Amino acid sequence: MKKLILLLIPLILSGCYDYSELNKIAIISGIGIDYEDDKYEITYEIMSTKKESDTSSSTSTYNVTAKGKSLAEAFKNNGNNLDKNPYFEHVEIVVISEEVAKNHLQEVSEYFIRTSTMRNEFTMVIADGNSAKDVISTTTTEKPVAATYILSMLESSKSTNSAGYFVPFTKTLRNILTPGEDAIMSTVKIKNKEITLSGLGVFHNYELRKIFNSNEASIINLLNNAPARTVFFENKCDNTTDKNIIISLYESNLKIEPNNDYVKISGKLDGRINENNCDYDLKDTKVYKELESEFTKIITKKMTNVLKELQEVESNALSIGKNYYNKYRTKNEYLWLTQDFKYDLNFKLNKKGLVFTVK
Amino acid sequence: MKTKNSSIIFFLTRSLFSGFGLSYLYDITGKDTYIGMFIGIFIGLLVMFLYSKIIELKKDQSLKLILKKHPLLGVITRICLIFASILILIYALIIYNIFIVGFLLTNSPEIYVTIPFIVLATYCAYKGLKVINRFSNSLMAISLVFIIIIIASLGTFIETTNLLPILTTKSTSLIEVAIFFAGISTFPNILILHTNIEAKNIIKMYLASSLSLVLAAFFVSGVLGNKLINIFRFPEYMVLKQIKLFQFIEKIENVLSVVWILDLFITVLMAIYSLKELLPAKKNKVWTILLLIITTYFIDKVFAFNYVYELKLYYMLPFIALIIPFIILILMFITLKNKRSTKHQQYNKHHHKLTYPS
Repeated sequence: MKKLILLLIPLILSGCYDYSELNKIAIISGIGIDYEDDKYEITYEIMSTKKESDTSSSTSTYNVTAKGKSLAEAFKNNGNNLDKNPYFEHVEIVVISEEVAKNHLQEVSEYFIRTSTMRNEFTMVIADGNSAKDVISTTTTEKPVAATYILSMLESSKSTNSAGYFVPFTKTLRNILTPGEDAIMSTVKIKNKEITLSGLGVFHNYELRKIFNSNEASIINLLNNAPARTVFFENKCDNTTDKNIIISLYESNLKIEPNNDYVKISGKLDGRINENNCDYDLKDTKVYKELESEFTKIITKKMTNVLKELQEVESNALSIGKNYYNKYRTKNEYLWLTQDFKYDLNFKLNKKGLVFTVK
Repeated sequence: MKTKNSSIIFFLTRSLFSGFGLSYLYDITGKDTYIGMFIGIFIGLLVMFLYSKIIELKKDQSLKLILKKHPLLGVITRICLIFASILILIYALIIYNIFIVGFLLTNSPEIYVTIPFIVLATYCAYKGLKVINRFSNSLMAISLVFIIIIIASLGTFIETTNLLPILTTKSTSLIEVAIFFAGISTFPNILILHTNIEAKNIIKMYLASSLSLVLAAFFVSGVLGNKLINIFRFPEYMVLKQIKLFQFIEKIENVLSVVWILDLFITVLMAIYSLKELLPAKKNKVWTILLLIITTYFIDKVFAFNYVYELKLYYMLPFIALIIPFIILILMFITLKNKRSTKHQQYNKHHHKLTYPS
């Protein structure tokens, strides 16, 4: 037994060779990637491991930036700015600039999946109108870690405006590589010195084709069956007033089924009334029928607009091409680009809030 | 005496799939690999049945004793078995090395990782089959718990669209996968020829182990999709990265990947036991340890992280796994048949003498 224990010790201790003290490693929570003047610029957001009393600043992160002709060179050069070993296992967010998303995503993806130091389970977002460096460096006292803030914002968006989309990078890559599928990434921008969610970027292979605003983004999430619990629609009471009725979808289950003639969108949509500024009598069953019919038209129109835009930019972000292949086993991923859309939506207004009317 | 303890088979069957076997099979049939593997179980069962027949024929005698009785055939079979054991040892150690140094201890020298593993396995191997069985039983419990955790947690990550449309690969490719699966899963099981496991238990355990592999292939394809399974070197490890237990315990892939390490450990242990049994009895310890030192040195200097050699081994695996057991099975059956006929002749001679005394 003693011998066995003695033999087990080296087996367990062999891991100690890789051991690093916490204050010897730079824990990176987010990375920003820009491309300018034929050079990559890499920015790390690093968690400060110093005690608060040791630092003059109140923030818990700091940034380092370096440039290089290749990604590997830029990452290597960033090492010159650090007195610690970079530790990438806790990277939560990678922000890429629009330029990188448009022209250099393939190189970035290649670098990330090849390296063994990163977990590849981070979420990639696009800096919309700002540099990735600016986004990853934007922190406030209340939001001291930009990467964590962006991730929380994306997570909570499903219950607020349903405009966020976050999946692990491996899934993004899978979408890019699979014929008939394309990637979607959330976009963020700096507004009043704070990071805000601005919409969704859709890709065609490795190339960013279009950025949808947050309203359109929620429709894309709805069509994609991504968690979207609050997609808002409004309808004017009549042509004479500015008053309106606002509903939101709280549950949905949609199917996009392409065939050789058209693309069929069918499924169930459950909605609730959020604002009734019109004189609708919510005790009358006919009103619900009327509203359901009206809003089905509005939802259909908004969906068509988004789908037409996707057709225009040739993006299979909603996996329509893959659905076609799954059905017919024929590789014709872009047949739907010239087709029309037909809807079979079962929209029900099931919740009206706690009151019938407020007068 | 026959033993019901067959947990060793569980580990041996799975051992060459991590990093090597699964990647190889994914390369042929992509997302449909699990179907080919499922078909392969039936071919594998046939091979396992032949192994169990040999165990049945050798009765309670040790392999070493049977081989000793046949001067020429015994020596050839013994050399083939030693060669097979060394190959299994090399494969298991290389997979272990690549996995540990590639993913877990990225800065550690390979030799630091290999030596404690081999030393512990050698110590256990010299304790004999009883200890090995007991050890393997304990590890199997751990392995099963981890496999259940993995399956339960990965279920939610499977996307049916990744598995659709089913059967898009050629039927010839599926047959190829089935044959290679049978080969890779049964090749390390050649080491059970040293044991006395009951035929029924051999079949049962092989079935359980290979079904766990089919399930693993199904889950990996369902989570990663057709393209990513061919990109990653260890797709079965990459898939573990997504696991979030109870929605908050994450980054546990290193803990869960222990299941693959346990498979490799039992395989290395059995390979060393096999070498110990087959090498000359005189100065057996010296021979075995010398061979292990040479093998470790060889792996460290030639194979480990020499991608060209590693790739050669990778592409050779299914062929080695099919040819070597085939040769050994033929040799073993001839040896055992000779033994039976020699016994039969001796019995007849003796009987003749008794009936017709001169």
